[in-house]
Amino acid sequence: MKESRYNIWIDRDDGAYVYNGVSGTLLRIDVAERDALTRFLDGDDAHGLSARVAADLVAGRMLVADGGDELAVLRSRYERSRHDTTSFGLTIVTSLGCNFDCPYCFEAKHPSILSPAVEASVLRVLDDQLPRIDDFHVTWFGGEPLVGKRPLLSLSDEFIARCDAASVDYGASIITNGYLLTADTCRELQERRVTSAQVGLDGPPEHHDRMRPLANGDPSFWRIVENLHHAVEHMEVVVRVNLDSTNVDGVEPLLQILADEGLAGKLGVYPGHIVGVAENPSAPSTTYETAHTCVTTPEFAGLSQEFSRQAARFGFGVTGLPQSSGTPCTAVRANELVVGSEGELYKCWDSVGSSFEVIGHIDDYQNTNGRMRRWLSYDPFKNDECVSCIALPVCMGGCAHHAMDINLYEDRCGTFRFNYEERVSDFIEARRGAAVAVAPPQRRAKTC
Amino acid sequence: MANDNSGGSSEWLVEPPGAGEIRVLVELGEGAQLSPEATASLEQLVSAINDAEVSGFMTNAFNFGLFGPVRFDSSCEKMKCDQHSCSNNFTCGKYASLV
Repeated sequence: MKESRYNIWIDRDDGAYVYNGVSGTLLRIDVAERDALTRFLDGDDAHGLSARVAADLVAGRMLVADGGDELAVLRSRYERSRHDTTSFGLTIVTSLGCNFDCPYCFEAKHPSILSPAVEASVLRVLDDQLPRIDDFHVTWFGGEPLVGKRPLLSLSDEFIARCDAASVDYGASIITNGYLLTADTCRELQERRVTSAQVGLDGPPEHHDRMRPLANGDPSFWRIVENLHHAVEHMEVVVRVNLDSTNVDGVEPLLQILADEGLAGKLGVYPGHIVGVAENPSAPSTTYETAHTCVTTPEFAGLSQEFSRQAARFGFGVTGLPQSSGTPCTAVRANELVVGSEGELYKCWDSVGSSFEVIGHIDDYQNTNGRMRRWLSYDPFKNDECVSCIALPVCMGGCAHHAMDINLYEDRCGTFRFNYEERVSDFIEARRGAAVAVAPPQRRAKTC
Repeated sequence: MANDNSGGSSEWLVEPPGAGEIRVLVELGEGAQLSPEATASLEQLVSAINDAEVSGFMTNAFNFGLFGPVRFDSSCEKMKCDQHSCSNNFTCGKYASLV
C-alpha cells in the first residue's frame, strides 16, 4: 500500500487528522497510529498499525494499492461526467437586459426577453432529451432573470408537466440580483421548484450601492435586504459578496447588518472573486480598473479564508470541506447548454451576450460551430500544473474559460489550491467546537 | 497489511459516501500474519476495485451527448438581437418583472 497523493494532514494535540480529496472524507487517528502509519509506509514489519485504522484509511482512500493510479481514477470521473447523458442541464437567460448597472459586469447587456418562439424551441430540445435522461436541472440566469419572469414561469410550468409525465426529476435554481425577489415572486418560484437562489450583496450600502447600483444610478441595498427576508421563507438562499481591493473592508459591516436583520442561520454567505474579463468589448468589465482594484487568486484565497472565519463568528456557518467532483462546470459537460434570450447558444456563463462566443442556435442545436470543440476538448489532465496539484480532485481544472485565455490563465484556479491547510484546519476547529453549523459547499459561480 | 488487530482509535469527521459503496473487511486472528501470497491477493483486490471505477466510467464511443455527431466544420454566424422589450435600457427607474 502507499499513501494517497491527495492527503492533507493536520496535526493537533487531540490527534492527527487527514482529509482526502478523492473521497472528500476526513478522519482523525491517534498520534501513535500516525507514527505507526509512517513505519508501515516505510516498510517496517513492526509498524504496529492497527487493522481498524488501516481499514478506515483504505475506505477513505488515504491508503491506496501500490499499483493504484489515482490520476486514472480522476480522469475516468472527468470523462464520465463530461459525457454523461443521463442528466440534462440548461442555463437559461430569460432576460439579457438588467435593471442593474454593475461596473464590473462581464456581460454586454441590452433589453431582450426570451420570446415565446425560443420557449417553444427549448421545449422541443427537452422533448428530445426526456426519453434518455433521469434528471433535468435549470439555472435561471441573466442579465437579470426576474426581468424576464414571464418566460421563466411559463417555461417552468411546461418543464414540470413534461418531466413529471416522463418520471424525470426536475429542479431549478436562480442567480439574481435580488431586487425583484418580492414575496409574491418568491412564492411563485417555490411553486415552480426553484429551490435555491444566489443573491449579490457587495458590502454595506456605501460599497454595495457603488458596485451594484440600479441602471438609473439609484441605490439597491435595502430593497434587496428586505427581499431576503421573503426569500429565506421559500428557498435556500446564499448571498455572494463580490470582492476586490475596494470593498474588502466592507465584509464585516455587511455581515453585521445581515446578522442584525436576523438572517444569520437562515442563509449562507460566500465571497466571489472579481477578475477582469476584457474579451467582450461592449461589456462594462472591459473598462473596469482591474489593474488597480482586482486581487490575485492567491490574495483572494486569503481573503476568502478570513471571510469564512468572520461569517462563522456572525453565525452564518462554517464553510464545508470541498467535495470531489467530476467536472468543473457546465461549459465542459456535453449534455449542458447555456441558452441566450434570442435562442443563441453558449457553453460558458462568461460568454453570455458576446456574439463572438455563440456556438449555435436552439433551433438547430445539434449543428454547432467550431467553438464547441475547445470546450469539449478541455483537458486538465494535459496541464502539468493541474496534474501535480493537490486540489485537482475537487476543482478538476478550475475555470475552463480562464484556463484557455492567456490573460486570465492565472485566475483559473479555485482557492483550495492556495488555502487547503487553513480550510481543513478551520473545519476541524469548527467541528471540535461543535457550536457552529457547517454550511454546505456552494455551487461554483462567478461574476466576471 | 496491518499487524495489529486490537483496533486503534480513529473517528470519522466526514465519512466516506454510502451510495454505491464497497467495503471489504479482512479479519485476522491474534498473532496471525498474512502470507506474501495473501497480501498480494488483497492488494490485487483493492487495485481491481479501483480499476472497476475506471473501466465502469469509460464509454466505448466518443459521445457528445446533446450534440450527437458534432459538425465542427460548420461556419459560425454571429447572432444579432432585434427584439427589445424595453426601449429605455431600464434607465427610467421603474423596475418590474415583465409578466
